[in-house]
Amino acid sequence: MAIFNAKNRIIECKLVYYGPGRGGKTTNLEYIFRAFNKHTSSEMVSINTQGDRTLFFDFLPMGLGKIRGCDVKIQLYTVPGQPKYKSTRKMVLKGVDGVVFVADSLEIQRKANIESLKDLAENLAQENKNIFKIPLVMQYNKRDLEEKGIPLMPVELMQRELNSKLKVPYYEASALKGSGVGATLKEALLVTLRHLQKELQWTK
Amino acid sequence: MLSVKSYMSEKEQIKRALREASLYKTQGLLEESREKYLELLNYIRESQKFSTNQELIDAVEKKIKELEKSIQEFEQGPKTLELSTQVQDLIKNLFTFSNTDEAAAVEGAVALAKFGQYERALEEFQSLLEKGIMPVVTAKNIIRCYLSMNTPEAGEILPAMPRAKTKRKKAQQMIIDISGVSIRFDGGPLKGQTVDFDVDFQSSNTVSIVISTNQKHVADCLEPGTRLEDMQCYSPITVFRSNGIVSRKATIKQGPRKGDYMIDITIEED
Ligand SMILES: Nc1nc2c(ncn2[C@@H]2O[C@H](COP(=O)(O)OP(=O)(O)OP(=O)(O)O)[C@@H](O)[C@H]2O)c(=O)[nH]1
Ligand SMILES: [Mg+2]
Repeated sequence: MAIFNAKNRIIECKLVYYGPGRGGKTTNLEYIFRAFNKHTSSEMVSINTQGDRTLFFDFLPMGLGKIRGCDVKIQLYTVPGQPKYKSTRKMVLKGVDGVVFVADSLEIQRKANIESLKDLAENLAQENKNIFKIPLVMQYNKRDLEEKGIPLMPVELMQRELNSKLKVPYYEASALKGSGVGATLKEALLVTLRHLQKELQWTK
Repeated sequence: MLSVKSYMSEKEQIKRALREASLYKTQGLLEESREKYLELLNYIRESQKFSTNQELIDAVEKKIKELEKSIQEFEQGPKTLELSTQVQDLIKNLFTFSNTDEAAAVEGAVALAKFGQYERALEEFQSLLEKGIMPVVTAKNIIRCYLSMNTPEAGEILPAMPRAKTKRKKAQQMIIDISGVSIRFDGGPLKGQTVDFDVDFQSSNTVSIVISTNQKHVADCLEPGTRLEDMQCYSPITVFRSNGIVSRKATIKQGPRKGDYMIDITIEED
């Protein structure tokens, strides 16, 4: 739920990284925290269980500075991807303005991706939001493993299975190395702010 | 089966599978890693060249055992975590969206409970209850917190706030046993007086009280539709204030209490 304070001209919005467990959501935020430190004022909050699996969420607030005379603040979150944490995901998704779906390119995660996307659609629907309408960007992560001889799905296959109906922007990435992470984030911010602009008219 | 690529030697196939399984493990994909090792084990056992290589078989079996142990540890691991006050405060702030202070305060406490911070949530709910803020929701959540704290498997977060559910579901969720109510009358012949009643029967958020014929003047003040703006509800665990509405009034037709009034009061859920 974006907050637009017209008097002080501050806009605050919430981006959630969603996707199957172990797909690289937390790794995305960690990279952003390190690479965009100019925009991150406070620490990143991670609530993990054993083995670095997210238990509740990761949280990283960012300031983008002034855009068209408006102070733009962003809150980045990740959800816990493991299926059993569905109710926590619902909680974290409250008030979401935009979503990055981090799909795992590992062949063995083919089903997990599809299930997680379905879970996202369901949880959005319960928030009275529509997966076809919410600002959404796809990321096909772990592409670096190709050269290590680990079976990955071709991007075309992932596009067909995850994005043929949604038709949202997509990026190949390696959250571990950082490639594609910034591009994904920038696109997600762009589509989210554009969407909010229509809704809140904050640049007027 | 392992991806059958005939041009690859058996040795290469095995090496590749080992590499894959070990990567899945480092990525925390423990089930997937275990499956890969099991697949490999079958492959080795059926291979002419390697089925006699006991060292290799032992090594793979050891990996599988280790993985099974880790998987079990994960399953038994804590499902929730006591967070620092600072992070609890953050949760309270991040997960409140309501405009009014009262609703936001309740929402913050619910968020704490949903993230398993039961003790802190209890503190918040208790203080809300003392202030009379959304007493039914608050009292219910106090009980849920107690239940969750005492049941090891209740770590998974509480069900959604009752307000978000449909009316019928709401009523079903009323889990407090109310043993008595005391009603202060705002108007009518009993204006300013407080009368206590025992609850004879409770079905979700409706309680039934019986008033004897010689208390007719009291029963007369409780006609269907009467709103009760100031009511205390007593339960074994807590006392809370609430609003109610008289939803039904009948005369008992049979039995020892024949002629007495049976009055249903529906307790409002804020
Ligand atoms: N090789 C490689 N490994 C990655 C990449 N992204 C993440 N990983 C690894 O995958 C594992 C899981 O990454 P996380 O970022 O914790 O995944 P997550 O999506 O937050 O997982 P949950 O919190 O369980 O939902 C870690 O071991 C990461 O190092 C990537 O682009 N390439
Ligand atoms: Mg994570």
